[in-house]
Amino acid sequence: MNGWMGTVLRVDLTLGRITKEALDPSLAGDYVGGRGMAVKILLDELKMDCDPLGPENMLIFINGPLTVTGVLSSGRYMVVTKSPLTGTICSSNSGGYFPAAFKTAGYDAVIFTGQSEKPVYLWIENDRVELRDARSCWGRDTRETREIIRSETRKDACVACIGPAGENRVRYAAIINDAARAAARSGVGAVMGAKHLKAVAVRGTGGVRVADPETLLKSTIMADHIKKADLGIAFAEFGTPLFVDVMNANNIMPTKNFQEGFFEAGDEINGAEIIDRTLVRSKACYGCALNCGRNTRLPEGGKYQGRGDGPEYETCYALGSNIMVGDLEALTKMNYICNETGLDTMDAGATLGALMELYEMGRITEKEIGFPLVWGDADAAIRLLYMIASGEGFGREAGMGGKYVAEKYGAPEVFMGSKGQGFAGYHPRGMVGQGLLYATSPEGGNHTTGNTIQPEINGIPESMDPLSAEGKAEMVIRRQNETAFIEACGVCLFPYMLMEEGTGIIAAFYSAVTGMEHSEDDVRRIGERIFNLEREFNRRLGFDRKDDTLPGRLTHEPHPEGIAEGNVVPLEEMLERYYRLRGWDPDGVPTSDTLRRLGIP
Amino acid sequence: MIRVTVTLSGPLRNHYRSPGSSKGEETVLSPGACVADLLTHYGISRERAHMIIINRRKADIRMTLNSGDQVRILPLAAGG
Amino acid sequence: MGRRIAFHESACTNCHLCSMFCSLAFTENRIYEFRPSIARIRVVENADDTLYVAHVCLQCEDPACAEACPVDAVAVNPQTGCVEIHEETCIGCGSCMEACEFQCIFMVNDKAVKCEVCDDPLCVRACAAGALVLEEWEAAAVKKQGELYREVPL
Repeated sequence: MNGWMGTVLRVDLTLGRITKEALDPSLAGDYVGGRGMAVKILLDELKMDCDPLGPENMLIFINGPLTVTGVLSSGRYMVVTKSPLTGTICSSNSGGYFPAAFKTAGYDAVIFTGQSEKPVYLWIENDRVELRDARSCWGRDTRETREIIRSETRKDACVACIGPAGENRVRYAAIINDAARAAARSGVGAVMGAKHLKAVAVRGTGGVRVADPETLLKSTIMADHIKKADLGIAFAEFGTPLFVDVMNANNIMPTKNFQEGFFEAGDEINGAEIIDRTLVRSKACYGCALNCGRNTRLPEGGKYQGRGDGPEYETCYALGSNIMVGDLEALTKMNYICNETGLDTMDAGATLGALMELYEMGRITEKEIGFPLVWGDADAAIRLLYMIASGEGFGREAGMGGKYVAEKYGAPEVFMGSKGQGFAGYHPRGMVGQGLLYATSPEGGNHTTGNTIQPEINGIPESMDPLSAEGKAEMVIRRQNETAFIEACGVCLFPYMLMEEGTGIIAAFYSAVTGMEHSEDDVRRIGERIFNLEREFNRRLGFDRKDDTLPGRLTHEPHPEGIAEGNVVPLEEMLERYYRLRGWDPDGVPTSDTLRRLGIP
Repeated sequence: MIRVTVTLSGPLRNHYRSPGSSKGEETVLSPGACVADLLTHYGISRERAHMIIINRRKADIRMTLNSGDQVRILPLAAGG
Repeated sequence: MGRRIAFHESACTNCHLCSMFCSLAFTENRIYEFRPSIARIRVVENADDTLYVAHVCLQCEDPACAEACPVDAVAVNPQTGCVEIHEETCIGCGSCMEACEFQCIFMVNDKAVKCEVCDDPLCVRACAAGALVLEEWEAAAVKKQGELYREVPL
C-alpha cells in the first residue's frame, strides 16, 4: 500500500495479548487515518456507555498515510478515545519523534483495550512487540520514565508515557512523548493510567511507500519559501509565543479567566522575551521545516531551576495571562512541571483560573485549598500543580477539572470551557467565529479542530470582521472540515491551516502519496464525513444542541475595552445558521439525508 | 516635532534604531507624519507591516500620528 | 580535493528531513519509499539536548575506512576526492564501519554504505534550515566537523 503500513496492532491489556491485523482498505479510503479512522473504529466497536476510566474504554494511538512521507510537517499522531473529562469522543494530537517511529515500525494504529492488572509498558521494535513490566518506572515522572525505559530497551527508542498525573487519573492528564511533546487534551493520560499502561516505546526501521515522489519533492521548495517568509521566520525564530503579541494587539488574549482580553505583562511572556532570557535553541518535530519548538532552560542562580521545552503559545495564555502570571521564568517552570508530571497546561490553566476567581469571590478559601490562591501568585500555582499531579490534598479535587470545582463551589459560570473542557487562548468576544468553533467542537473547548485565526484576525484569505456573525457559520464549517481531513493524515496542521492554499496542497500531497487522485472538494467531503461521524458518536451519548454552549461571560458580558469593546458572542444566531448549513436539525443532530449523503451508515 | 512610542513585534525588532530597545522605543517624526512615514523611517515595507495598532486600536498606514501615540507594528504570525 | 556535504550544527533543528529524503534517493526496484533507516546521513541529539548532529561522511583525505577494508572495496575517487565503496566488491564485514571514528558508515542490506555526494543531493534540498551545504573540501572545517562527531556519537 502507498502511504499506509497496512497493519493495525491490537493490545488486550486484560489478557496481555497482542495481535496484528491487516488494515481494512475501505476504512483507509473512506476515513483515511488519524481522527477519521479512529472515530469509525470506536463507533463500530466501543461499548458507548462505558466508563472512560474503565477497562471497556478503547485507547487508540494512530498516525496517518502521510506520516513520514516528506510532505510538509509529516510527523504527527493522534490519541483517540472516549474522554474522562468531557464524556465525548476526543482526539489529542502530538508531534516530536514518536509518531514517525511507530509508523516506520510498521503500524498505522495501536489499539489498546482492557486493563492490565499490573503496570506495564509496550515495547515495539518493528515486528517484535511485547508487554513489559513497568514497575521500574511506575510513579516516576515522564523524563525519568523515558530514561529508564531507554536503558531497558534501546537508547534511541522513542517513548510516549504518562507521569504521576496520568497514574492518578487527573482528568486532564497528558501523554508526553520525547520528553516534552504532548498529546495533552481531554484526559487521554488518565485513560492510559487507568489501564495501567505506563508507556509505549518504539523503534522502527521500516519504510513508507509513496506513489509519486516527484510531487513530494516539491515540498522541499515549499518549505524553503515558507522559511523565508515572515510567517516562517516568525515560527523558526520566535515560535508560537510570538502570538502573544498578536493576541494582545487584537484584544483577544484571554486574561483573568476570560474577564479581559488584554494582558499588561504580555511583553514579558512573548516570543522575544523567550529568546532573550531562556532559549537554548529552536527545535523541530520530525519532518518539519517550521521549527517552532522552543528548547529552553531557566537561568543559573534564578528563583526557579529546570530545563526542558516551551512554553508555547497556549501555555503563555493558560498559565500566564489567564491566571495573571507575567513572569516568564515562573511560567516556564510551570510548563516544565506539566511536562514532567504529565498534565495538560490548558486545562490546568482553565482550572486554576476558575479557582482564583472562586477564591476572589470567597466561594473557596485557604481552608479548602490549604493556602491562599490569588491572581498572579505563581508560587501558589506551582504548589497546586504538584498537588494536582500527585492527587494530594486539594489537588485531588482540582484534578477533576475547572467545571467540577466551579460547580462544587457554587459558581458554575466561572468555568471557561465548553462540554467540560477549557478553552484555548483566543477570546471569542474579539473573534466570534472562534466562539462558534468552541461551542461546536466534538470535545468542547478546543481550537485545533478549525482555529479561525487566519480568516478572523489575519485576513487570510479575505478580511472578515472578527466582531460580527457575518459569514462565520460558513467559515467555521469549512475550517472544521478541512482540519478533520488534515488530522486524519498524520501531519501537523500548521503549514496547511496557515497557508492560504493549504487545502489544495494537502489534497495534492494525499494524491501523490496514495496514488488516488483527490481534489480539494474530495478532501473537504472526507473531512465533513469525519466531523459528522464524531457528531454522531456524541449524539449516541446524548449530546446535542443543549451542549453546544458558551459561558454567559462570553455571550452576555460585554468586552471591557479595546478593539472588541462592548462585544459579545452572538452564539445562537451563528448556531442556527451553522446547523442549517451543516444539514443538521435544529437540535444539532445530523439528519438522515446528511448521513446518507456522506456515506455514514 | 512629534514623539511616538514604537514597539516592533517579533522579527521586525531588528529595525529598532536604538541598540537595546527590546520592548519599544521613542521616536521623533515631523508633525503631520502618518504611519506610512513611520514605516519609511524604520525601513519596514508595507507588506511586512501586517498589522498596525495605535493606542490599542486597529490602524492603517494612512492614519496621522500624534505626540504620545503608542504604535505597535506586527508581522504576519500565527500560533496554536 | 573535491566537494563534500558540510554540516553546520548551529543551524540544525533536529528535523531529520535529510535522512528522510536521502532514503528516498536510495530506494530500489522502482519502489519509492521513505526508509530513514537506510539513509547515509543520520541525525542524533546529545544527552542534554543542546546539540543536534547529522553524521555524514567527511570524505577524509586519508580515510581509515579504506585502510581497514580487507578487500580494497573502499577508495578515494581521484577525480572527485570522494571516498567510494564499490558495492560488488564489498563483503559486508563491517571493518570500515568499525574503523570510522566519525560513525559515518552504515550497514544496509549486508553492505557498507556512506555518503558519496550525489550530483543534486536531496538532503541539501530538503534541509530548510540551511545546515547542509555542498562545499569545497577544506581541512580546518573537516577537522572541526570531525571533532563534533566524536563529541556526539550516534
